[in-house]
Amino acid sequence: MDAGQQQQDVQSKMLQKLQLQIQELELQIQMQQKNEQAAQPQQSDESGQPNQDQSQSSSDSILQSPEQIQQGFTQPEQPGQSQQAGQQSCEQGKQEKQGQDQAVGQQNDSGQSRVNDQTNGNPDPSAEQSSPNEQTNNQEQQNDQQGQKNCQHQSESEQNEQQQQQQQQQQQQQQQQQQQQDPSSDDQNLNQEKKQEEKAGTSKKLPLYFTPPEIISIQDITYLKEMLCLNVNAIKQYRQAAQTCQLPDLKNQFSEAAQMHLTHFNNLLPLLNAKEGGSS
Amino acid sequence: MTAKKIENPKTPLPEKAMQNDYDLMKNLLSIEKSLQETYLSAIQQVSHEKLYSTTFALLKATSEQYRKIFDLMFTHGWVSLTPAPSEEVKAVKEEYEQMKQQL
Repeated sequence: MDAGQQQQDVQSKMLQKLQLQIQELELQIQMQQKNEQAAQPQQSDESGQPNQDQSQSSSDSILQSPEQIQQGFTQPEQPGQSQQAGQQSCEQGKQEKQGQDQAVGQQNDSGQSRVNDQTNGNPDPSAEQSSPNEQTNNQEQQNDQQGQKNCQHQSESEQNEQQQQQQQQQQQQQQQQQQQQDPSSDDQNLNQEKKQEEKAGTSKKLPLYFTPPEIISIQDITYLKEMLCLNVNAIKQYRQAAQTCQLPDLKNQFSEAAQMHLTHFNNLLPLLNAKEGGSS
Repeated sequence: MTAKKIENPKTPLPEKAMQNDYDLMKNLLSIEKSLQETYLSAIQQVSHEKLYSTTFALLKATSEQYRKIFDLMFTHGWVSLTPAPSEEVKAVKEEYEQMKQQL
């Protein structure tokens, strides 16, 4: 019984150490993500949701790892579950292979897309410079972790991190391509809007006038001015003639003509007040 | 053979440096004539119906006034009419009767 208690004590101490190491790794991963966001603030602002999703997925993968580790260390104590744990480890190994294959394919894709960006002549230096540093940091962490303990679960988490980084790079490259395409698309949209406005302007039918509208045109104002001036002159001349003439019939006729021209003047003046040069 | 002028006896007027009645009437007739010309050109180029009808009514009234003053001048013998020679009238009548047959 003493030997069994000593073994249990040793195992419990190992578990505590492993948990502490896992917490340290989690903190390191969070710091890396913060550094990435700080190095690429614009892109993180533009793609805020995808980064959050990735951080959630990475935290999920990290949270899964302690359970798996505990299961791995609880194998000797519970022989009944050892077969299940062994099956799980086999499945995990298959998943790791699949993840590696996927990672290789993604690396090839990312390499091709980088070449495309360089050919386009608008590479994003921040994204390309930040990724190697991240990879070196990951490699250092991998070496440290492998020096502390040789655990498959840590390699899984690291591979997941690499996959996530590659996904981020791909998304950044896609965003760059979209940004490159955006100006042309905006120009096209503006041109289309202009065309639509032109079509709308041409399609607007001007109102049809069956008769001229009651406005005062430039010719009207000149003629009205001349007629009013002549009428005023005629009134003055007739009044003066009525005073100076000697024959009574002429005097009556002149006064009558002066009154007539006064009425004409009063008829012409309201025409200017009707619609004072209105557009319709 | 000169045609006889058709005219009334002239009403005597004092010949002064100032304008007498005949001068006044000639001056006023020229004013009426310029008014009628202005009305006529305005009728031809005015924009809307109301201006046209108003201007046409003023032209008619002014023309009638002009005619009244002209009649007054004739009654006072200040305007004489010279009849055209009958031969010339007959020639013009024959010419346009032939053109009427062609129509």
